[in-house]
Amino acid sequence: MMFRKLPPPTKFTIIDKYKLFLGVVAVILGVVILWRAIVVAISPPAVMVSVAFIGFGVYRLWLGYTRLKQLKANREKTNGSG
Amino acid sequence: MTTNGSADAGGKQELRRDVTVWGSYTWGYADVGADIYAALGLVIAAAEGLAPLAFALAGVIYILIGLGYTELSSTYPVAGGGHYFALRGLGDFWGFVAGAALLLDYTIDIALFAVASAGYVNFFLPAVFGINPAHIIIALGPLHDIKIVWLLETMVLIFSLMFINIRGVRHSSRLNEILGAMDLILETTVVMLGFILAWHPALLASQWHTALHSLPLSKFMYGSSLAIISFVGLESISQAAQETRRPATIIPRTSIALIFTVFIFAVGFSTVGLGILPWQQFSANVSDPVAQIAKSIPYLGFIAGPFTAVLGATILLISANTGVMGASRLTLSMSQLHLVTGWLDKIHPRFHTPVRTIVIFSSMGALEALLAFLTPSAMDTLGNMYAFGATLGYMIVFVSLIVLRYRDPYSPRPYKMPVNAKIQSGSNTVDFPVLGILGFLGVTFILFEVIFTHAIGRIAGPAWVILCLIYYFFWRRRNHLPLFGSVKHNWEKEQIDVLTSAEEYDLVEEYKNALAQRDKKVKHDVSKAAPTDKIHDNR
Repeated sequence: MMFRKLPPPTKFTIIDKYKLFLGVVAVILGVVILWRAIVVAISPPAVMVSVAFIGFGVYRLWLGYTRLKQLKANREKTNGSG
Repeated sequence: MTTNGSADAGGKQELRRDVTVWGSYTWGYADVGADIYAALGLVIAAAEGLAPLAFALAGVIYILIGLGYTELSSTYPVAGGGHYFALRGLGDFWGFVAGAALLLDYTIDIALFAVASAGYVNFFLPAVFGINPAHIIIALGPLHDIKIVWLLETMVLIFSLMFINIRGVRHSSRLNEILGAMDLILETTVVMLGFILAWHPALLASQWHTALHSLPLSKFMYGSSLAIISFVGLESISQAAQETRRPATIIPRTSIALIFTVFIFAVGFSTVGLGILPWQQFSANVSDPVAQIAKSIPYLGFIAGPFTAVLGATILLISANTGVMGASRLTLSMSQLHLVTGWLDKIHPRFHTPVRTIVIFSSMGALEALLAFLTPSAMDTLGNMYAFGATLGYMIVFVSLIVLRYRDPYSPRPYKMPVNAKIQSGSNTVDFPVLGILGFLGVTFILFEVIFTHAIGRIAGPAWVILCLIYYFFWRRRNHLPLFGSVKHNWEKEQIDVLTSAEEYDLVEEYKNALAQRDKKVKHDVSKAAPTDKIHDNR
């Protein structure tokens, strides 16, 4: 079920930047873990954690992208009505 | 705490709504996020190289529990948590049983996290004293191996918390926000740097394969049932629901973010830990496992280790304090719903705090800690009990979730557990929660593991519930209240009041509309049935 909608964002906050940063870091970390596990010694927990990090990072980036898109649309709407 | 509350004209205590999105998230994180500091060592000591799997299995069930709690907390944003959901769905008796199980968890929470907090303090003792005083043991009659210094430290912490809460600590959401944020940053840093600088995939793989071939199933079951304690604390979000602004909008977001963050950290810590240190080292240091990982990070370990120990000790103490506060909130809710005596919630005239509840439940926590120190491993024993209380409470909550979908289909659910089957029930179509059934089966399985593998938990846990039930029957009988039945409540009015106080006006409208539709339908059915009855009577 979808969440109830929050009001559209009015600015890109420091928390948004932090979330995007965390998304990028999680993807990089996931890829590094997977690569090291494949090269050195593969084990199910290593694969599981790397996939979890990559999934988490991609989700964070997607959220950040959606929020940026909403912000842009909101700004265009405000400028258009002004 | 009650200093954060207010009283209405009727003298009924209410909690003020001033918790924000970030506050709600960090409130939960300061509680649930702290669990890994205590659970990591215990689970690795039991499940050895298969600890990541134990965390993952318990974690999947925890995700289902979390989704169930998210639905219920956003539908019924009141401070009672699990016991309130059980009472709404199953009646007073089961509401009390769930309350008793959760009360056990709160007292164990006080004991376990005070013990664990002292364990992180002890990280510094070898450096200060040259030896580790926490390992000084004494014998008391037939009982050997009592870690007297650690026990005394724990008692000092518990009684300090009791004193602070009696004097009326303003449990500031701000403090939780700061500590929660620090903890989040620290845990992220330790996991990241651990993976980048110190992690050896070969060590992890070798420990995994060794355990896969040699670890007995009963030990793995013990480990996976203990792993559930690293996820306990979702109650705190429900508890905070009554103090959260616009709970229907905020709670689903914060709960789900919290659930997945904690899951990733639990699996991440066990995977990075077993790739840095052998499981035997965790087994020898169950009191400060996260600090052991941080200490082993090259270049930064000398600072990361002590910093983690300080933060671990602090956040675990905050978590122990959650137990003191949670017990107060729970008994307040239980007394308002006629499940326990109102005597417990008497407010001190000078400190304006529920002194009786604080003294009774903190002392109970201290007693549990004392008894646990008489066993070979205090943390292990408390972990046993914690797992029993949590799984019993969650099991009842799952049944309530399913029953409430039938009994109360009219309350708006801002969040619904995903994967539902449409089922016809009378004239209504009900969304049957398929994941709710899976969650119920999962929690029941963990409860089975607890009973099967926890020598102390399987006796002490049910004994606690039976003692509470004896009190319940005695008190209800004395007050001429039904023993197995329920006191009459006007839930519809209460639901409107709760949603109105939460400023969820659109939900109030939605609820009133649903009730109006139901009444219209009932009226229509009655008028349709009436002429037939008349004919039948004439005949």
